[in-house]
Amino acid sequence: MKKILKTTSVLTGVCAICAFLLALVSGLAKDKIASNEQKKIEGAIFKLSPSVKKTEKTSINNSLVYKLFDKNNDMTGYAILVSGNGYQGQIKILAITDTTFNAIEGIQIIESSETPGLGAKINEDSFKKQFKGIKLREPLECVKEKATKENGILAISGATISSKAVVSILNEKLFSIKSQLK
Amino acid sequence: MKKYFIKGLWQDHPALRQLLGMCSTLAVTTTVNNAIFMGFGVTFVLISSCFFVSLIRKIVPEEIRIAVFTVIIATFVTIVDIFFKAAFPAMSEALGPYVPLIIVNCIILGRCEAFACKNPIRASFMDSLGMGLGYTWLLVALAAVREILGFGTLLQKTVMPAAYQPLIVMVAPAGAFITLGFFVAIMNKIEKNK
Repeated sequence: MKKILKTTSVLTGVCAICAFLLALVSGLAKDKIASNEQKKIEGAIFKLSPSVKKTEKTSINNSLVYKLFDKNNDMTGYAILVSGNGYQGQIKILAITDTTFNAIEGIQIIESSETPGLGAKINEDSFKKQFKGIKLREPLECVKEKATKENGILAISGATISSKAVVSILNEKLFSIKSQLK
Repeated sequence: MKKYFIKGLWQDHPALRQLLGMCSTLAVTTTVNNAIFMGFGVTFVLISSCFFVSLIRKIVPEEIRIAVFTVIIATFVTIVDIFFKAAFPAMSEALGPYVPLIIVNCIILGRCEAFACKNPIRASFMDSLGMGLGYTWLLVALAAVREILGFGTLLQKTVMPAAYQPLIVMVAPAGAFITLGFFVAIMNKIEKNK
């Protein structure tokens, strides 16, 4: 009996101290991490559409949406931060569309923890540039052979799940936001 | 006290002699920058975990020691991960999942189990510092060879003549095995001739 009590109390004590330490560090770093992500998103927006001079943050359907304006203060499109599950953990994608949600102008992966060398290739330009100019009339489709369809995205070999995850995150979120805006 | 520190650097080198922590040794040594951050991350986790394990070694019942070690190690790894994310976002991204994976780096659990839970705090500190720095110098040396041959750069600065054609294999996984193989072979040769 004494042994059980000792074992339990030591393990509980260690866990409690560790949890306290983690909460402390996480609390201290939270703002800094959020501002780093903010900077990264803005950097991605200016890289994907260099004409953008000003952004305005809103939220549609729980997704973070930026309205983009050029130097004459004309709206040029939207930047939408969408997220969903990948093969390992969350994938966060920034997609830029035109003002009417007709087509995607480009995507950038903001956060992912896919398998290095396989799924992590969703970060490569050869994969991302396939989304440029894709029309948002019908859902995108992940294909395994040469993309002949207008809305086809060629999957990365060895990383079908990660490729499909990117496509389905975009499908799910972009179309719901599109219907909200109408 | 000094001998505990020295042995991790060469005699009982964690990666070259004990062949522990191979996964991260092979995976992150594509650039010297990665190696430096990974090395110091592991050293910090090693020192802090061994310190705490040594501190509470007399009150932890033997049956639950591995569970206690794991909780302590996981805590410090998460702290390093959060710290990198906040202070060095670019490095955190380059190292990707390998920072959280320090949790399963067997050098750390190995030192807690083999040394820190049986020795006083000062000896454990010297031991973990030696092992951590031993691991760090190996990562940096491996990464230097691989970065120079594979990219023609060192710390992102071009060091090879413009005519140099980078050996892509050196930054691929095969290059990691080849380079590490040479390091272990040289180590064995030196030790044999002693």
